[in-house]
Amino acid sequence: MQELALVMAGERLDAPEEQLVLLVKRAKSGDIAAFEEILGRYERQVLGTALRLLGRNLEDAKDAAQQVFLRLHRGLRQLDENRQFESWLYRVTVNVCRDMLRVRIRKPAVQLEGTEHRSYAPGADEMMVHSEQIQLIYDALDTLSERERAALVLRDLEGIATKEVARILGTSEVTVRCHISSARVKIRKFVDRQSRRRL
Amino acid sequence: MNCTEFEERIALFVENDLSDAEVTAVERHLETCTDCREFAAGLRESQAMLKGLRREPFDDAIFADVRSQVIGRVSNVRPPMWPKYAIAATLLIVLAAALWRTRPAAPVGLPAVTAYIGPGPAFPTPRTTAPRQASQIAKMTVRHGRAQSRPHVNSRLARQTIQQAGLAHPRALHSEPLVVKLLTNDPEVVIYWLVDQNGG
Ligand SMILES: [Zn+2]
Repeated sequence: MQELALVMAGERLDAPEEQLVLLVKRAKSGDIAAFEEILGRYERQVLGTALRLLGRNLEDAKDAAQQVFLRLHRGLRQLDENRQFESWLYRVTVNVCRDMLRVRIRKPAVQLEGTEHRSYAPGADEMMVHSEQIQLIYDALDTLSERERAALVLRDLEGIATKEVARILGTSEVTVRCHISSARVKIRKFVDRQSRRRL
Repeated sequence: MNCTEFEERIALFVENDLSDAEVTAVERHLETCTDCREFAAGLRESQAMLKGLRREPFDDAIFADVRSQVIGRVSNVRPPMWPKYAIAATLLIVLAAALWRTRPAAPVGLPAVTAYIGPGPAFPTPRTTAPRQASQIAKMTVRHGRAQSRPHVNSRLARQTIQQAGLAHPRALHSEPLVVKLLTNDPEVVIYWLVDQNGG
């Protein structure tokens, strides 16, 4: 949990952050309900990020989210509740997904039939076009390097400032800008190629 | 700078990720270059599609599943910091058992052995109600699980000191089980170990 100490210094807390500080304090003292509330607050962030980093494999994303929250629980005592831990969670999510991707390279995951592109809102026919676009973007994300993908997901999908993305990824702002711009160009070219093919 | 070199700048430009000076340079180029204007328009489109992922719907059951798995696992877990003390305590128990078996036959009384685990400075001064018999106290310092017959020395390394304090009362000794109380730095972690007088 040393890495948490590297994450930005605490700023003046607003109301939701104060609530979070209290939740973390309660969770530290073994209050499972408080820990569950923290999970509820951050599950969308963690699962969504994992899904985009891992390539729309829901089971893997769920597995990653579990690992992230278990790491959070293990590190609770060392967690400084007065410091932002959103960044810490992003960092752990990126690290967990990176480790999973490396294992996947060594031992390719066996995809169960129908699980990889399953709609997360079953039966929503009217969302078909949107769903196709989503799949197109996931395919485009697959063309990126691991670093480009992480930088793009954090900047463009999570809306985190470039400076903070650099902190989370443990790299320089200049490097993040390079990764973000090359990733955007690759996405644009991939989408363009696919659109031409369909015409 | 040619158009290819402008591509990555335009990719930052469309999301307002450029400095003012860089923005001016890109805008000037776009005014004169149709290809780059098209490229910028395409980028805005693909960026909009990319951001469409933010609206990707998730079934609540997915979150419920993750939550229940995590809560199920952490509910059965001791608070953090427990593992290293558990290892230290296990070593201590093994050592205490060995010590008990090889104890001198001479009067060893107080049916309670108090063991303390933790860094030197926090070590509590042992109190005995029978100072005269304190000479019966056997000290042993363990470092990395190896017994050394020298007195307790301050060190941050894993160290357990066992104090076996004696008060002669042979009857009590043979009729009651020996109680080993293991204190750790964590006030919530206190381990009691009952030792059968017949060598258990
Ligand atoms: Zn141009």
